[in-house]
Amino acid sequence: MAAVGDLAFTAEDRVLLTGASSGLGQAAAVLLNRLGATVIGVGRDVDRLAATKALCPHPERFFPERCDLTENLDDLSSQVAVWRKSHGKLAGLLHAAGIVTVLPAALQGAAEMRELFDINVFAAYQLARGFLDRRNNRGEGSAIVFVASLAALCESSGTTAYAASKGAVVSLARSLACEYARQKIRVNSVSPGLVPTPMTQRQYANLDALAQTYPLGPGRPEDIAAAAAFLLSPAARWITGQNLVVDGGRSVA
Amino acid sequence: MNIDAFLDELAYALQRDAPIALDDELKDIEEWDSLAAMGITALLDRKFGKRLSFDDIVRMKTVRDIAQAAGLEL
Ligand SMILES: NC(=O)c1ccc[n+]([C@@H]2O[C@H](COP(=O)([O-])OP(=O)(O)OC[C@H]3O[C@@H](n4cnc5c(N)ncnc54)[C@H](OP(=O)(O)O)[C@@H]3O)[C@@H](O)[C@H]2O)c1
Repeated sequence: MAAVGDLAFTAEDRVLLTGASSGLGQAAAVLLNRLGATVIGVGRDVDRLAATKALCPHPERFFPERCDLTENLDDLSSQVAVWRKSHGKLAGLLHAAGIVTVLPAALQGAAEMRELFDINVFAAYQLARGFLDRRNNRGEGSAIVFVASLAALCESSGTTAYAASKGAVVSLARSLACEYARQKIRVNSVSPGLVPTPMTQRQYANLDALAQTYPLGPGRPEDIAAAAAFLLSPAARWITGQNLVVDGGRSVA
Repeated sequence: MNIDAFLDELAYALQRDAPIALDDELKDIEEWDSLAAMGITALLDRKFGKRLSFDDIVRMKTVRDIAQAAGLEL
């Protein structure tokens, strides 16, 4: 492991990273790889995972794993053991896979809400449970980061069900942090404001106009990746149970 | 789907109590905003199998335009 205070990783620092095939997860995979970590990148689309590998400065330390995380939620924590067996003990988990639906609440029923919760919350929980199994992590210094959202904290009309799922993620991090502090394993979340990614370009018709409402101007996937990498690194050794808002000042404006 | 059923679907999507008529102008409907337009995009896709972009929807002028996009015989 890199020295305390360092924002650097070694090849032994294996990070299980979901959502590696697109957007924020892809940016985080490339950054962590550049900072020296080994990245086990999970996604459903093998071509997009291959594209992430190609973007990595050290592609020999990026291992794509194709998996639909919601296909078999009950066994997802055991799947973490399978990945650990093929790659070695894990030092980090970054859950950046997720979906958003922008629709009036009138058109989002229980089925739509369940779909959001499956990937945003249940997959996060099951992956964390797998990661926190002592056999799968490296123990002291290991860390989890969930990607939550500003929607968990601020007004978010049109994404009510999504906001609820992200609120659950923030709470997950806080409680798991307390439960696992004895093992010196840290659990935090990152709450991004709106950043252009394939997801937001698909779902937000007015993305450019919304970006103008951010005091520091539009954000980039790399801005979120940097926060996640920091929270996974030894530099954050005394930070746990927190939700780091990365939103160009939007929430305080 | 007949016109009345379609107008009911529309009223539900817009959560509008007052009646809606085919020749109503969208800009005069109080509930019509960008979120409502996203809702109509989803409605046309889910209930009518018509995939229109958000921009297609915001360019529409009247309720009739939406009904036509849904493929209703008017
Ligand atoms: N972009 C933003 O402005 C923003 C703001 C706040 C929070 N967030 C959060 O950040 C996270 C990443 O968002 P993004 O903007 O980067 O979205 P994105 O570009 O659409 O990427 C989403 C990722 O999730 C993966 N994924 C989705 N469902 C999956 C499933 N069932 N199994 C496995 N992988 C799955 C996708 O992989 P495949 O397609 O390969 O399966 C893809 O890699 C999400 O949790 C989102 O809620 C984003």
